[in-house]
Amino acid sequence: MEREGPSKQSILATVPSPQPQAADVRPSPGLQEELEALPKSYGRTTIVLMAVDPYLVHAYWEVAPKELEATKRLWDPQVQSALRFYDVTGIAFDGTNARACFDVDVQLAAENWYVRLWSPGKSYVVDLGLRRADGSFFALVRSNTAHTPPAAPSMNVDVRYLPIQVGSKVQEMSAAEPPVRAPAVAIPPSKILPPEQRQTPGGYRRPAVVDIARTVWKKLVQLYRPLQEEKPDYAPRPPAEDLGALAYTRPPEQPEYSVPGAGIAASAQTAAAPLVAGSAVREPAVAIAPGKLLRQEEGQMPDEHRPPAAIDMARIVWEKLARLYHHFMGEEPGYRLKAAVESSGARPDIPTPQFAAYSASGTETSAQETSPRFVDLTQMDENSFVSGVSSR
Amino acid sequence: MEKGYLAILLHGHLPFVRHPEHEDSLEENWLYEAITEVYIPLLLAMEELVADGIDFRISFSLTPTLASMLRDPFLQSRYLRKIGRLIELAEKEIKRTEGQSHIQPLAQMYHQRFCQVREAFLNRYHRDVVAGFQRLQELGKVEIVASAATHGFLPLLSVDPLAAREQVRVGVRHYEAIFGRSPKGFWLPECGYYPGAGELLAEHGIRFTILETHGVTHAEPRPRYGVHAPIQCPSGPAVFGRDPDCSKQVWSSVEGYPGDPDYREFYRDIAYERDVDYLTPHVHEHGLRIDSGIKYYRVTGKTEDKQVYVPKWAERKAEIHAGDFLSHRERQIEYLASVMDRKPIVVAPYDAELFGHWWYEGPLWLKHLLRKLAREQNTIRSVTFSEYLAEYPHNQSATPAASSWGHKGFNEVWLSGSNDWIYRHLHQAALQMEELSDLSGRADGVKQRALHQARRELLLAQSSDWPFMIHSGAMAEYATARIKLHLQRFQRLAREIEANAIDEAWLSATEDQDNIFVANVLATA
Repeated sequence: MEREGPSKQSILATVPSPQPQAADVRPSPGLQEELEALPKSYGRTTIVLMAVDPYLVHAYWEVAPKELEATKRLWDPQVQSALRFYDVTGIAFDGTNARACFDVDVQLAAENWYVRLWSPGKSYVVDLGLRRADGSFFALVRSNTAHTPPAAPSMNVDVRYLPIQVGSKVQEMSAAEPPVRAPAVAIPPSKILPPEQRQTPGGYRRPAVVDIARTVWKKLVQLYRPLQEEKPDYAPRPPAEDLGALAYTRPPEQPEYSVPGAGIAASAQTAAAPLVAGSAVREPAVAIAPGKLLRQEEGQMPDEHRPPAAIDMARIVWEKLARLYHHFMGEEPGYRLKAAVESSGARPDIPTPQFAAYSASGTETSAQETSPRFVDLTQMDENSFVSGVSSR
Repeated sequence: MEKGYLAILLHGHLPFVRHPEHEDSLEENWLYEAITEVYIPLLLAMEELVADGIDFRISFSLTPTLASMLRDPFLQSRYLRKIGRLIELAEKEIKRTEGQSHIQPLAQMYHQRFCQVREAFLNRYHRDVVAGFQRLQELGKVEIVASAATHGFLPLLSVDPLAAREQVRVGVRHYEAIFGRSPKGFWLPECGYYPGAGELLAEHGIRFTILETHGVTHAEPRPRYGVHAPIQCPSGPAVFGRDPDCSKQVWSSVEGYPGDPDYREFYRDIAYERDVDYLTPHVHEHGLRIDSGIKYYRVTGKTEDKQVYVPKWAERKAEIHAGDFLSHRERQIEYLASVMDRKPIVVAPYDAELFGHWWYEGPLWLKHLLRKLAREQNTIRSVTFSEYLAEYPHNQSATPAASSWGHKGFNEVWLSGSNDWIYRHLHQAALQMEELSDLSGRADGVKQRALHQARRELLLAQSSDWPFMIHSGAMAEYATARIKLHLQRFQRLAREIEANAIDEAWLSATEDQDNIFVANVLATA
């Protein structure tokens, strides 16, 4: 349809002028509605969960005020609203059979939340509810199931073919409803062992248990020791003569901070040395506001001045870790007190001076069980440890 | 004998924008630009190939919103008004560039082009562009696939499965009403697939759909041939995956063909350079500066100093690039055919707007490509998806992975901080719609009309274009206003239906304005 540069005349000749019919182009009176804001709430309690990408989901909710009021009698001062996630990948969820469960603390008034996940290709159901300080959770409403997409090609390289039935639906398991999967049976039915063969043979050795706590402990020892050695701030006892007029010494038996719940005084009196013999002494911060610059004669520290308590971060962290570790030790049956280990006939020849308090004498053991004991790592080495796991 | 196939699909979509209440609407121009720059040039290119006896195959998706707008008499006449104004503007430009020997030929080229388009619109297609595509489909050169009613993003709407079903049902019904046959293929909006979409498509008799690359490569189990053969959903439809090698090469203005220095520069429109008085009313009645389509400069390179466009150079480049694309595909298919035990298919879906609007020489490139495919080699043949499935009806069974072709490949574009607030309203409205249809039962007369209109308003609010625009920031206020408007109208209709107190005058006015989908299409059998 090539044409040479047309003049206006030739255009009119070849193309009927498109006089729009009156009816066509008339704009309708139009509605010109005022746009109001959308409703803030719809008066019902609901929560919806949607996947954004393999590692992110989004939940929005609404709680009807009267329903929230009705639950107020169950609250305690520290009640926390939370989203309780249930991992329901591949199962028909009935409220109790989730694969895993975790809480995400939220603010109820936010009415929506984005939650980052760590594993793709899963299905989640979420309960919106309130959790009390004692851990009990009561749910207000349960969401739909959201499926996060896979983030990588599948590991499964089986190849299956299905015939296409043109014009009829193929009856096959639907991707929308993941079926309840029967547990994978490693031994096919035809190979079930007869009863007389179902005994563990004599030479059987239980596989070595991976001693995670020990590994962690060793790592902590390695990490902490250089801190003690290198940084003068954390030196056991500063030489008093170096600090001049502002120096003060603190009797080593009386730490100036307190650790809640710990029998520090009790522990200080026993043979076990405190965590760090002495304390970390810091230059006390003297805050002099510019307007209050002291005159020469006033520039001395008054006697009754108590320097502010120095915050020994390393010690606080260490105490926390030690508490966690002791707590962990106390709970794991494998990590029972040395008393239990000795009585079971495990190897007792590992030197454990710090655990002397946990000796076979029962009374001391029980007294010490609850309060955390601080051990002097400078005296410990990697073998100063008892593994509670006995190898039978 | 060919060794493999190339399946190109052009996805044609525009949101339903129809503003009879405005004398001159800014957003309606999207449709007019698309008709002038994309759809008529594509049709003309394909008809030229047919006239030359070239055998080719190409697939199109024309969404119900686009097809409705193309067939709406009011918008058709508005288009004629617009193209008439553009022709006048081009005439003014020819006079104005008198003496500028490099620019005046371009002004004449545009004038000629606009006249050609208008002539085709009136005489060849009789104002109905969709009929042009239908004719090509009847000739067997083109396969048109259906799409969702208002291009709703199904993975996020599927929280209410009936809402997703309604999008698919109305889309398929609309296709049947227009084309007189059942669609075999379905274009999921934004290629948004979610577990359960396969069943939904199977319920409506759909035999295939196309997903983004990782929708197929992350399928369970892993597809043996990657994206180079379709996989079969357990529920029935076959799923084709986009070939990644074809994509950026063609649509990226940075890495691909459209960025070539000789092609026309999109961002140098005369509408931003001439006086407002000069432009009004050709471009917009109130002197708003929007693209006129007359652009005199070429890309030139990464510089602000753009040089004058030389059509002959651009045309030559389009042919070179078509040959380049073809040679890449030949080598790709030769390699694939050597390692596969069947003929590979390379699937290349694109937005139709790329061809002509963003990339002015796109339709020319496509024409050269299809011509070269037919005449200059034997390794590849262009094919439609139905033909490939007819040759290979048995495909590996796998469940596709949830995915989309949006930025980052999942749902983030439509569900992020800027637009997540819409979903509580959309889901609630979908629930309300279910309740309304249950309550009303056998309604007729005004109540039936109100129910249908409520359905229309809900479908219009569900369009994926609105959250997309809000997320990208372009036209965000318009998109927000559209969602609020349609939800507001829906709420009002719902209230009036429940109270049995329907305001007929308001209902008629709303029906006139949001007139997508006739009652037959909406009716739940």
